Amino acid sequence: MPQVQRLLLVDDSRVARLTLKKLLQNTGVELEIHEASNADEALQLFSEQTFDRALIDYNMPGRDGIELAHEIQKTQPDLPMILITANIQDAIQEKAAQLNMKFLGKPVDLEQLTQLIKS
Amino acid sequence: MRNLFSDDEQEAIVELMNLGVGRAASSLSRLVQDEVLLSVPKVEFVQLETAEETFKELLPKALAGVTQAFEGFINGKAALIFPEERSLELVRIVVGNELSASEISELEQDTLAELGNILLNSCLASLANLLKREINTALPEAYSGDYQRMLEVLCDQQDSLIMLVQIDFSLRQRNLQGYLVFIIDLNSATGFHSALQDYLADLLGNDL
Repeated sequence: MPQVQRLLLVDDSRVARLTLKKLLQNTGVELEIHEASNADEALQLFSEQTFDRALIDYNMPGRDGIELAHEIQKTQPDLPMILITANIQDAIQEKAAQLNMKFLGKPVDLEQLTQLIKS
Repeated sequence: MRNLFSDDEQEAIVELMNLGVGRAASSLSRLVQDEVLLSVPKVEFVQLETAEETFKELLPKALAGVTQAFEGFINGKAALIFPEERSLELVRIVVGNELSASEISELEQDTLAELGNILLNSCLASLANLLKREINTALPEAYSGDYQRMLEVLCDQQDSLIMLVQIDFSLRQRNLQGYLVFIIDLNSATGFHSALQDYLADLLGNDL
């Protein structure tokens, strides 16, 4: 991982992005945070730039977080991704695990987030 | 009202909702940094007009909140409800004090939607996990209005037979009361019934 991680944060809720950005700033990791509010915007950004990690909400209008991760993996199979959702169902966690995504329940715990961002 | 569930099944519903709401309360408590006090879930099997009476008695006149539809082994809608007059205060608690009044106001709908998303999903997902079933939740929708407006949003079918699960909660330090309501359409209750039977069979098996 480079010294400054370029991170893409994908969530349709502006409040969720604000909250997560605030937490990310407290992880002690140097981050360059970019934002997208849906899967299409995220894929557009991926086609123009490179990122070191993606934090993706599950429940979004249009394609959900799992569908987005699947699309991203077609071109960047090794990109570390974290699925962030209040929907902590085992079925969703299993889908994330199948795509090799890490899983974080909302509200996000700073310690867990830090651990995942540093991994 | 015909009784669709046995006493054991009804007790299981209350316990499952208790566990689900417990998780939601823990999420809320972390978000607002305050102790969340919960009532015991009250479960009623009612027609729409009875629900209307209950809402009229229970809820403040002007409401703000979030609804979220769900489908899977159970179908219905859930709502997180607050008195409208406390809505901005709640937004400020969640997003922090550093934002200006106009920013807070601008973020009101989005914050309520995200808050509802977290609480309602926590509860529904716990329920699905405990019953070893799957449930899909739609995007949260913020709304404001009176109890009749809210009921219109929650129940679109006049002849619905519904399970009304009502939980009151409050934030200890801020004296702020809110309500969680789950309206479950019982016209297609077969999946729910079999999930409850499996859950009870598991429990009884473990007791032997």
